[in-house]
Amino acid sequence: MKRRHEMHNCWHFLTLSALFLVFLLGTGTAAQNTNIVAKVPSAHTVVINCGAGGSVFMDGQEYSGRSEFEVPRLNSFTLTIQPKEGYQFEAAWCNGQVLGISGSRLTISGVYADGTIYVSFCKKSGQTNEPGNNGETEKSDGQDITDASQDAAAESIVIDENGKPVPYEQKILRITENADTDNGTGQEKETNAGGGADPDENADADETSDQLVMVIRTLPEQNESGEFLSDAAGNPVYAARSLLLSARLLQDWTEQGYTQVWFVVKDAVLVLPLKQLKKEACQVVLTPLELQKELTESQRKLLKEFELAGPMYHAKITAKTEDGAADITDQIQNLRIRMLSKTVFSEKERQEMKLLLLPDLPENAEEELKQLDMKYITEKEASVWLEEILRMDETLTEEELQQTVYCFEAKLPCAGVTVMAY
Amino acid sequence: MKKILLWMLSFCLFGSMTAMADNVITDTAADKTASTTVSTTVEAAYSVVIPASVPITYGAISSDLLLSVTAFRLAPKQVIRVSASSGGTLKNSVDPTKIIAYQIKQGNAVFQSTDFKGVGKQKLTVEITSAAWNTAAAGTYTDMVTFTVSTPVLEN
Repeated sequence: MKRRHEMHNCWHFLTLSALFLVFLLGTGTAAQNTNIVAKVPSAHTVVINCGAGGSVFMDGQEYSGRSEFEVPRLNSFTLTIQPKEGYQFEAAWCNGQVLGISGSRLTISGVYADGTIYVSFCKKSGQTNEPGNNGETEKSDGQDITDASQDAAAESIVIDENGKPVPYEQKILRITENADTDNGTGQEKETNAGGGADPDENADADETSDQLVMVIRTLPEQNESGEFLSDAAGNPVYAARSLLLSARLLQDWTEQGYTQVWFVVKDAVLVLPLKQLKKEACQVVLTPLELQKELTESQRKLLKEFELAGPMYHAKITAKTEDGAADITDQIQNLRIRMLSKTVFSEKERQEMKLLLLPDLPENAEEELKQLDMKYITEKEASVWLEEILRMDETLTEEELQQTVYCFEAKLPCAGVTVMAY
Repeated sequence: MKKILLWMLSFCLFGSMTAMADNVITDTAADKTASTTVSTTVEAAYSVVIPASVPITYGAISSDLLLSVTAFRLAPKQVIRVSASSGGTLKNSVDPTKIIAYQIKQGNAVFQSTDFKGVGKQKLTVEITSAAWNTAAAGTYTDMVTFTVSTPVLEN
């Protein structure tokens, strides 16, 4: 009994050592100290994931496949990229950012976290695009290595339906936008491939303000050789892509002055206001759909009265919760989608077109259908489409680019939504 | 001995008759009311739990710091006010000139003080920017935050 009492006292002591308890009778003041402690590691683990078709050299030693080594904190290192015969360097990226290379040298400076660098190669023939080498992508400052405790999929910010990291292009745009209006009509002011801007410049109080936009542009599907896939008509094939926005990445971009993230898949762009994205990590999924084919029966019933035209996209934003993932699409104010007007008008000659926003509905959702009003139908909104984004579709000529600078734009007011024109 | 017992018994009977006479109502013409003041003093008491230390994970831009009041017995309009003061920089244990700036926040605002009107919890956060983390030299960094607890009476 005495021993049990001693153990109880010991446990009580341990509890009180972890928590400081202020207990006072009557009035008066008390002051207590809390110790804040942070430890910064002295070295970081860097993993180099070298794709087939080449290797990298560091300090005279060749690395191929997966290699792991320690780098003292804030130190720099240089990789020399060496493609095999018949191959060429395709892209290098880390934490979703394409890394710029100088000649065949890739220098990472000021390493401040663990991370994995992906280096990919492709065969010399049959390449139509080389992300990372075309001069359009943002050159990294090399300080983007982040936590390697994340899994491989999470280290690239764009993944496919199977969770596999896929290459993408990253671009910075500076636009002038009326901050007070909801339609977000923006006009390109200049293209700035440089660094961030002072966030104060983007204050909402201004009638118009400069908006710094981080554009994440996905690429068409590729085969194992890295060639872009085409459909029967010769058009590039696009599939669902997910944009992984970690809490840290959101914080970084906000601090660098970015106010919007544009996630571009095929001919649609999802406009994500950074201020509306909370600190928690989230996943943005944008899926190009074939008309009517991938809808539920309930959704088809609802669509009977509409004469649909043009492309269709499904958008959904989820955030991690304790129970899994929650759909937060409708919680993000001013979330917008823009669709290339040329693609909407391509099939039918119309003077007017509207966008239909259809929420996710389960099968046999008769009750939901009855309650569904027309609030999901939005009026056509024309908005300036940035030519820089149009250039993602290389099938468009310069003349066509000049003629198609408008797009449809609509706010997304509901959770998990399919967008289409009618 | 018997005499002594008899005297004691007589004294007890006399005493009880006197006590009974106090409760006898002699005037039945009208009801009488009387008031009695009962007073007691309830001592004010409360307990506030403040963490003795807050370990910050490397790279964390926001770390929780929980304040809680587990007992609250104060006068009406009296609150428990917890305020904090700190230098705002974590200092390297080897080289104090190397620092990491931080802020204590409640929601989006820098924390000054908070009032508890009963038992409950309030979450503060220790926030360090990514830029501050990314340029920090290796090592252990610490700082002391002083929390002051008072019990002011609100005027309104």
